[in-house]
This record gives sequence, C-alpha cells and structure tokens, in this order.
Amino acid sequence: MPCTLKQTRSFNARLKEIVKEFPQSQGSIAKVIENLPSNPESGDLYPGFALLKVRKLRIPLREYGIGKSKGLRLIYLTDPSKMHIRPLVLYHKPAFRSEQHILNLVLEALREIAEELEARL
Amino acid sequence: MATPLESRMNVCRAFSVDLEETLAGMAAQARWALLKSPITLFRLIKHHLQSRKARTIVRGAMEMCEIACDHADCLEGIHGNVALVRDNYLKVVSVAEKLPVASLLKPLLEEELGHWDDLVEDCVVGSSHEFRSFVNRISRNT
Repeated sequence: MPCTLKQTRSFNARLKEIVKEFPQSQGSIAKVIENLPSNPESGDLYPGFALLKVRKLRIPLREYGIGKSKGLRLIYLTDPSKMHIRPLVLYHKPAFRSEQHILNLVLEALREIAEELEARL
Repeated sequence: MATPLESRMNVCRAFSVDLEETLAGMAAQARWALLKSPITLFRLIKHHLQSRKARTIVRGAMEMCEIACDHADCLEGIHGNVALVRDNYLKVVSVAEKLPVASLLKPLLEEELGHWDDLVEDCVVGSSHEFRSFVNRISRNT
C-alpha cells in the first residue's frame, strides 16, 4: 500500500517559488513528488533514526539540461509505521558550500511540523 | 561481553575511523593533482575511481544504519574529512579548467564535486543536535 503525502504550507510556498524559477519543469517536479508515496526509499538516508526516516532525493531538471548533480534537492520525512511522507525542503543546488543555509531551511520546516503536531495534542 | 547493539556500534566506530583515514589520504592526493604535470590526467582518473568507491562505502553504511542514536557521532566524525575532500575538489575543478589535458575530465570532476558537497550537507544536517531533537520530537507526537 502506498504512503500518504502530507505537504506543509511552507513547503507548498517553496514549491511555488521553484516552479516559478523553472516553469518548464513544473510537470516533472510534480511527478517526482506524486511518485514519492509509491517509492518512499528512493533518496539517500540520514542515519541514526529508528522510527522516522529522513531522506534526500536529487531531482534533475532535464527541460533545462540540468543533471542530478546541479538539479533540485528534496529532503523528506517518512513514517513507515503510519505510512506518511512529509516533504520538508525543496531547493535548487547551483552553488557549493551552502550546507549551513540548508540546515537552517530543514530546521525551519521541522519546527513547523513539530509545532503543528503539538498544537493538535 | 558486548551486547549485539554495542558490537554493532563498535563496527560502526571502526568503520568511521577507517573511513577518516581513507578520506584523509584522498584529500592529500587531491592536493597532488593540482600539479601541472603530465601525469595529472592519470592521477585524476585514479582519484575519481577511488572517490566513487569511498562515496559508495559511506552511502552504503548510512543506508544500513538502523541504530537510533541522539548524537550521530559517526557523521560528526567524518564531516571534517568529507568537507576537506569537497574543498580540494573545488580547487581541482578550478585548476582543471586551465589545464587542457584535465579539462577533458571536467564534467566528471564537477559531478563528483556535487556528490561530495551533498555528503557534506548530509553530515552537517544529520549531525545537528537541533535537527535530531526535532525529528525525535515529531516522532513522539506523530
């Protein structure tokens, strides 16, 4: 059974920005995100978590002649027991040495989900 | 006697030390590749093959890790060397642009640089205490 995709408001806003930047790739980006539930283990794994898994997927922008290495990155959270997938951050990787900026984006996305879940309790 | 979990952690630590030595060796070789000598091309090809092998080992270990830990010391431990390899790759790519013989390999070098930069990102994100604490917080409330 495929997982359920749960997108946050900030992720959707980020997705809109990326699509604005790469309009010709709108279809292929949407397809990658739609296919995530049926292939949740497609990205590289961040180790050390037992219940939830965090992965990073490299997405090429073929319409612009951009391969995986200079394409988009999608960091997402999966909950194998509840079959949920939460995309965290989608970003373009044009420059190197931007790890601190990426970490801040990921922390912001995680904070939003954590607060949303705690508000529901 | 070590519990199964402890022995797995020991294997993990031993691997981490091994990897640090391999990556430090690679970083040193990357510096040599900067020399404008006729053997640069051969060095770059050899280096490229070693680099792919090292990346596969790191990614493979990350994929196999099923131990829950609060600290991810393994990622923190290899971060310095992974970043060193990435930084040296940046230098190699910029020098390769100026060397006709090495420029043939530029697309391969750039691709490899992208992989190492991703690995640096993953080490920084994965070993962040704040990141781990948020994921664990979500895990408790999900």
